Amino acid sequence: MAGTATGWDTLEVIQTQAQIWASLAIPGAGAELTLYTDGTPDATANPSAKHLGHTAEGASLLVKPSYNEFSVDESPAPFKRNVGGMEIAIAANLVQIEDFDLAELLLPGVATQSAPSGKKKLTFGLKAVTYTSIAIIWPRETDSTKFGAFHIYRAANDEGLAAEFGRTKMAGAPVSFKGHAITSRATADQYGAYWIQT
Amino acid sequence: MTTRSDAKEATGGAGAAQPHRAGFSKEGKAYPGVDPDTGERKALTYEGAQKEFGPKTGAELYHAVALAGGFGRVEGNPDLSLVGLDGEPREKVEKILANAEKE
Repeated sequence: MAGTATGWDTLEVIQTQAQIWASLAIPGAGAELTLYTDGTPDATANPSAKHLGHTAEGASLLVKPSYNEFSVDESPAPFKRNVGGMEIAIAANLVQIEDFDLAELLLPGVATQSAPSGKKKLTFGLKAVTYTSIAIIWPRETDSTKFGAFHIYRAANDEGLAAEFGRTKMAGAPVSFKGHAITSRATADQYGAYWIQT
Repeated sequence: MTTRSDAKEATGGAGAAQPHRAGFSKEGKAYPGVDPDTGERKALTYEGAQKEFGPKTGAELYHAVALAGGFGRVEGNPDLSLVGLDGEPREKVEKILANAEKE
């Protein structure tokens, strides 16, 4: 007889800065986001990739299904559940809000960028909503040449562009890129992926 | 796969006209998603496909690859990463691209 191995492993604790990248290429069936050896998106495989810059307090990810529960009169506890909703998101407080590519990305369906002489400009009005493929990428604790990624294939910011100005604070914009399904993909791979290099 | 330097040698070196290579413009510039050194097509972009194959054919090619490779169809025509495709999706995408490159 023997005991069972415990799962203590501090190297599986993530405590590092992460980078947020948007406008990534969508991977095909069974594939993943392609990284270069330095952990940034491979520039050729992700020709439109955009780094979202500094954050005020790091980044966060969320995958949160909600469930419908089914009960019968004969049991006080539910006897079955199915998935009734799905929330998947990447959030942060972005501080480089004079980046107009970023500002346009934060306002899907609303902002249009132009470049009048000597200026950068956004106009606000209605247009088709576009989505972005976005990921958080971080170096692994066990080996800084290996990386982890949390990738949402099709997302749009829910928080708009809101910032406060003041002499003693940074005008950061809280953002939350909420994932939407790509219904024409395989059922188990319609929202995104979380993976680590080993 | 033929590299850029191979192509130069094949046409007699600098100054000689280079044969057109799939993934590269007549001026020898790689289209978006094509590795300029190896010629490997690592991604397909909607705009790049239209520049390379023409507006109509490029758009059709993009959408055909999106479905065949299991990318799904997304508004705004995001870039499609061709790296890591395997099995049937890879075969289908390679066939679509090879046919387009022949024409």
